[in-house]
Formats: sequence, structure tokens, C-alpha cells
Amino acid sequence: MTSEGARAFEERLTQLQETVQRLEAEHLTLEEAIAAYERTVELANECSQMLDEAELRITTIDAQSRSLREESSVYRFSSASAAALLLGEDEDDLADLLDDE
Amino acid sequence: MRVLSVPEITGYIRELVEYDPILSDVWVRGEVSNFSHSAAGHMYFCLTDDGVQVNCVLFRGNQRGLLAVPRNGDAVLAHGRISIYEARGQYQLMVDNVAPEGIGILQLQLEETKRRLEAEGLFAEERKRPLPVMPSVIGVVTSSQGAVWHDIQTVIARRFPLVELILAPAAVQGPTAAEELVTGIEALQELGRCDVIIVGRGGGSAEDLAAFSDERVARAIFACTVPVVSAVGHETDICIADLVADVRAATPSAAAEMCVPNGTDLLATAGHLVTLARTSAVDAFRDHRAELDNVRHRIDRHHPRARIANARLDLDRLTSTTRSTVDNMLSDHRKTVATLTDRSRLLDPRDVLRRGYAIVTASDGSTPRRIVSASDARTEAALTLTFSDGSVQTRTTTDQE
Repeated sequence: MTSEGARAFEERLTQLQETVQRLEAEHLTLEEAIAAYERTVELANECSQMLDEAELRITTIDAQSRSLREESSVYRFSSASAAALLLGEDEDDLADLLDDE
Repeated sequence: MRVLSVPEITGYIRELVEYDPILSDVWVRGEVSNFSHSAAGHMYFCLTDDGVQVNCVLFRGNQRGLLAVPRNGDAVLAHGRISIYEARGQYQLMVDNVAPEGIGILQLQLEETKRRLEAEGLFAEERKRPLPVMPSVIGVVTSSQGAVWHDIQTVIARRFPLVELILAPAAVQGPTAAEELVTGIEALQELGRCDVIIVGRGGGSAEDLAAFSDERVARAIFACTVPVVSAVGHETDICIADLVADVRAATPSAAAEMCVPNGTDLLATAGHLVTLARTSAVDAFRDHRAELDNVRHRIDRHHPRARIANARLDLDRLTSTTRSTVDNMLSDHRKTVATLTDRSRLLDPRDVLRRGYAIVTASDGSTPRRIVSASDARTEAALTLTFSDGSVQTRTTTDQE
């Protein structure tokens, strides 16, 4: 995981918010609405995966020589991702609904 | 031997006094007397000790943040510089702080520095910067040994491990501590990658924490281009670093928590957003279906099927009208026939015979001849009387006229 991890995570979260806003505010075609919804599921899953797979990156800077030394991290994100269950359920729901038609 | 004018000698003394390092920054111990408050708000009093006294002036502008307010009879320490009042040939202490006499020297220095830095605006509320919501890189200035660094790593790893932590190791107590803290802050700042910097240590005695009240550290924090969180684990005493920092955390763990969002919460938010998206998508789906139903309904109304059905209704109506017309005609005719039949029955001769009449015929020839008058009957020897149920032969005997 690069130090861009937080940035990438934030970008996905922002995209997620924007997608939901677009879904709520605009009159989308059915295809667009479904695509937008699927995009939110994808983004949320990516966020969840990023956190689950993240390893805290630790670097030490020598204040005198200004040299950096990276250290191996033993820390892993320990909380189970709360979103995963919720997402799976939602997906099935919508699929059922679409099948009905 | 010199000869000096009064202004010359006074000016000379003034220079001596005002350039003297002790006289320009000194604490004077004594008992307050002759205290007065001028109309302009300045305070005038004397400090006396063993029959000796020093005149003191405490201008209104210096009266904020005093450690003690002077009152007659109080034993105090007054801080300030000695100045010469040339017009009167007097010297006086220009006071900028007053402290109760029992205060320790360390605390005196601390309070003095605090007061000075506050006056410079280092603690100003409007200067405090908000912490980044989701930092990528967090700098930490603390000891590489011990619980603080470990706690910070643990908290960040638990909450939001997508950040990078950069440690600038520094002694957090002892003679080099202040300098090392300053170097650490500067090194992280020069690196240019940190979004926020935590400066901290665990708790300790006032002496242990001294570096965090050092003026150099305070100025380094103030000069730092990214927000700084102070994290000195102590209960009551607030060190100067806490006052300068953009945010003060009670412990290093608390500082780490403030610096990163909670990943689990963020995922819950993401999940909630997905639920909202799903609701919107389902709504869109329903809208489209309702629209479709509406269109379908309109199409149905104009479908040829509907016209055919209408035509069929028309046809049915016409058919039944026709049928009833014909039926009526038929029944009229039937009635007419029945009437005629009845009437024709009245003309049937057998009906007359059944009422007691008979037909009289002469049967002497080969063909029966109707006899319709008595004169004709007198000429006949035999007559046939025909009744409704048969005939009888008769013989004419007498003529009864």
C-alpha cells in the first residue's frame, strides 16, 4: 500500500457521495440509475477492501541527516468491515426486483 | 575629573540603567505599600523591605494576566525593568507582572514566557488551524522508545491504517530535549509531506515536561506550516506547547484519534450511501415502470381491438332491433290469421247443422238437388234430410198448406 492510500480512499468516498447525490437529484434513465447504483456498490467494496488490506506504513526520519528509513509494519486493520454484509443483501434485493419485471 | 550638566549626568545614568541586563529584566521581592489606582487605570505602589523602598508603576496595558493583583501589605514579586524619570531624577520599576511571593522560580519563568508569547499572539484562537479530515501522512515528534510512539501506531492502525506515519525521534526530557523537539518539527516540515504533526510525550513531573514549555519549542510549533497537535500526557498543568498548538490532546492516543477518521465509521457511511443509492435506483425503476404502464394504457385505448369491440356492440344493437321488428310483424300477422280463422268458422254449414238445422235434398236423380222451398218439396216423392251426423230418407205424404 502506497502513501496515496488515504487519498485514494478519500477519492472513492467522495465519488460515492457524488454518485448518490446524482442519483437523488437527477432524472436518470433506468440504465443510468442501475449503472450508478452498481458503481456505488463497487466503490463501497473497494473502500472496504482497501481498509481490510491496508498495512500501516511507518518511516523514521533522522532529524540531523534528514534521511528516511522505512520500517516494516506489523499492524493490520482489525475491525471487520461492517459494510460487506449490508452490500451483499442490497445487491440481491435489486436483482430480485429487476427479475420480477 | 569631569563637569557634566544635569541632563548629561541624568542621561548617562539612564543609559547605564537601561542597558544593564539585570536591571532591564528583574524580579523584585517586597511588600506592597502606598497602593493607588490612577484615573487612567494605571497602578502606582511602593515595594518596601527593611525600611528601603522602590517606586513601582504598573500601566493599564500590562494589567492583564497578572499572577497576583497587588494590594497593600501583600508580599509579592514584581517583574519589570528599572527606568529613570529624568524630570525628577528618580528611578522606578516599570512593572509588567506581579506574582505571589511563594511562587517557584521555574514556574515564574514559565509564567513569564507564557505572558510574553501570549502578548505576541502565539496562542491566538483565530490562528488555530483545523486538522485535515483524512490525512495521508502524519508526522510524529516523540521518543522512539516507550509507550507514546507505540500507542500512536496502535491507534492509527486500528482506526485508519491507510496513512503513513513518519517518526522524528527526539529526546522528550533532559537538557537536549527542547532542541531535539525543535529539530524534529523542522525536519518533518522540510520533508514537506506531512498533513499534520503530533508533538508529544507521556506524563511526568514539571521538570520532565519543561521542554514542552520551552520558548524555542513554542516558536517552532508556531512557525510550523502544517497543523500541530500537542499530546503531553498530563492532568492539570498546561505547558506552553499546548497553548501554541492548533489542537491540544490530553494523551498521545487521543492525539492519534483526532488525526484520523474511524475506518469502521467510514465503511458504515459507505454502506449507508449504497442503501440510499439503492433506494434511488429502485425509485427510478418504479418511475419508469409507472410511465410505461401509463403509455401502455394510452395505447390500449387507441388499439383497433377497441374499435372492433365498439363496432360489435353497434352490430349487436342493430341486430336485436331488427329481430324485434320482425318478431312484431310476425305476431301481428298471426293475430290476423287467427281472427280470420274464427270468422271463417262461423260460415261453416256443419256448425249450422249442429245447431238443429238440416239440409234438404231431392235424391230421385243421379245428382242430389237442393230443395229450398216448400213448393219444390211438394213435387218430390222422397227427400233426403242431411244432419250433421248423417242422412235419413223421408217420404212425402200429405200436403199441409
